[in-house]
Amino acid sequence: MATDLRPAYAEIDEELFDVDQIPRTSRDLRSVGEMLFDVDYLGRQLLMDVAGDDAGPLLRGWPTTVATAEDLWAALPGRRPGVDERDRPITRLSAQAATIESSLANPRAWPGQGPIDPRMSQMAETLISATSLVRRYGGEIRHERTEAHRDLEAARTRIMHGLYVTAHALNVALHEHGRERVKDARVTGRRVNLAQHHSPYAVAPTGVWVDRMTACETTARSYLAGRFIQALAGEAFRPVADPGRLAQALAGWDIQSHRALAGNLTSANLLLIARTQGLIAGAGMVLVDAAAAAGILEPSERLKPAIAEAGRSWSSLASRWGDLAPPGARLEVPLAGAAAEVRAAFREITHDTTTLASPGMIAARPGLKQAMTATLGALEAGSELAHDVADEADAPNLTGPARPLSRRAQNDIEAGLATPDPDGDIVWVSPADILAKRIVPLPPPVAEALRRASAATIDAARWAASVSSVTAPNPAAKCDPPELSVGDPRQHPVPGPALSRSPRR
Amino acid sequence: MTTAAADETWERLGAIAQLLHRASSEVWSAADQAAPDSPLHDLGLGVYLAHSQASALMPEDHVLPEVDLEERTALQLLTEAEKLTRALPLHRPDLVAGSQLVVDLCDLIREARGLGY
Repeated sequence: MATDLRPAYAEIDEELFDVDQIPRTSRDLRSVGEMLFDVDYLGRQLLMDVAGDDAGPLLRGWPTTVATAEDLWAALPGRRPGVDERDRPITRLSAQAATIESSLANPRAWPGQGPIDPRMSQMAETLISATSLVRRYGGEIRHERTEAHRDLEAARTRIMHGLYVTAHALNVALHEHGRERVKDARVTGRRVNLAQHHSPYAVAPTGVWVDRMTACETTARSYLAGRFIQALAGEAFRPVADPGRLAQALAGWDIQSHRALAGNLTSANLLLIARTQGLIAGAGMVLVDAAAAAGILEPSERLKPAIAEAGRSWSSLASRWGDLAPPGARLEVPLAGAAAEVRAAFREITHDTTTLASPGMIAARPGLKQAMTATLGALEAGSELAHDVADEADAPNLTGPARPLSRRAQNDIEAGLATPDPDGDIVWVSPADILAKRIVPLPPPVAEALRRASAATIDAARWAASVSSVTAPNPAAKCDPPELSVGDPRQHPVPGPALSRSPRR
Repeated sequence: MTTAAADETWERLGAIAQLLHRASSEVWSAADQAAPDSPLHDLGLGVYLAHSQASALMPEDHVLPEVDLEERTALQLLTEAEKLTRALPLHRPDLVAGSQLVVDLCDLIREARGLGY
């Protein structure tokens, strides 16, 4: 069956010269492990290069890919009789894909009939080839042996990992497709229905597909994270409808950053806090422009400059803490999780594909007023956080890698940011420490400049806080964008659990 | 798992952490030259969080390997880190977060390309 699907060698000349294609010959010499490696490779390439136009063709190919993966899973030796917890994720994925296939059969609904993405087909064909090999030679494997057992577990992980990466890519494509439809609607003045979950770009017809693919992604991810049972029990996920994601993210960040600062924080974590505060300020500037365009905020000559100054100060301070944070430094897990959620929540509203959306486009998105209110609140809270971070700069035992600290000390002296040594131009970090890449105490000029940068951040954050505190979104402004109507979520039932973490879009 | 296999995995993760640390520094350095609302700030934070994911997978006392980081763009550093993840034994219980790292790296590469890297 697998060999029937492969073209003859002479027919694939073009593919042989395409670096993104895995050459397939009529005699496939790859092992099962290599084939699974190729499925993983194809999934990664897809995710790195996926676009909105790919959504339909990818969706059409998803059920077959899952079915072939399930076939391979079932063919692997050592399957235990009866219902096995280990097999439940692939069974569930298969059921989810079957309902997707059934919906795809409706020719009147998007995406309708059409081609299947060749990358998805290539994955399915590779899985079929692997299944053929396993069926042919699997009986010879003594699966009760430790090494064989481990190899089989690795194979299952590879299968599920490939499906996870591919489901995530499909989700990214669906969101891109939604964005493009919203853009088109704005250009033509046409009305489109927006789904009220996951993303302000989830156009109603694709919103249901986003839900379904999110459920598939969740199933695969939960297997890989070793918590499928918890996922089934509904403990690992939060509700689907989440219009206040940014407000929740910023509230979570406020709590986690204060908790972290109450403990003994490393430079790596202080770097994270300062960079995240800089991100909040930068995204706040973007939202201010959009809110002004939408009539949500009264034009203010002070607000944006104040936020910009706060952003610059936090970033400048962050670069100094960055000198102290060595590669491989660990972050507080709750703090990193909160920062990641802030980033993801802002991206949903401020970004268009990989870069910033225009103020006009952001103004047309639902939830802008809520996002603006939450961001102004976060900027107000930033003043207190700046004081807490500044306290850390006074710690007597700060250390960092020798080379960046040496460079920073010289630069700070030359720039007049720190007091020079009375003896003139001296070496602040010994060449031996630099050569040996040692961790050294902070040279006095670096410590002095760090304290000054912290004080400057306090001033800038205080200014942004005071302006933000007297700025409030216009209560009379509409919450929903004027030219886009919001679809009735009751028309779009949610088929499965949602990700606690939406795909990065 | 043999000691050699463990060492190889930690070396690989250590190299990934080095590459991502440098990539985040490169992106943030460019971001600091740009406006405070530049999308590069967002990309830098994403890369730094990926660096922390890789770091969290290693033993706490693991000494990072020497990696040649010179004269590479952030995208090249990210791409190299992604390549190094391909051979990670993701089925191991201590590497269950590895799949998430892979997905995040692929997302970051797509984002970096979109920003002109």
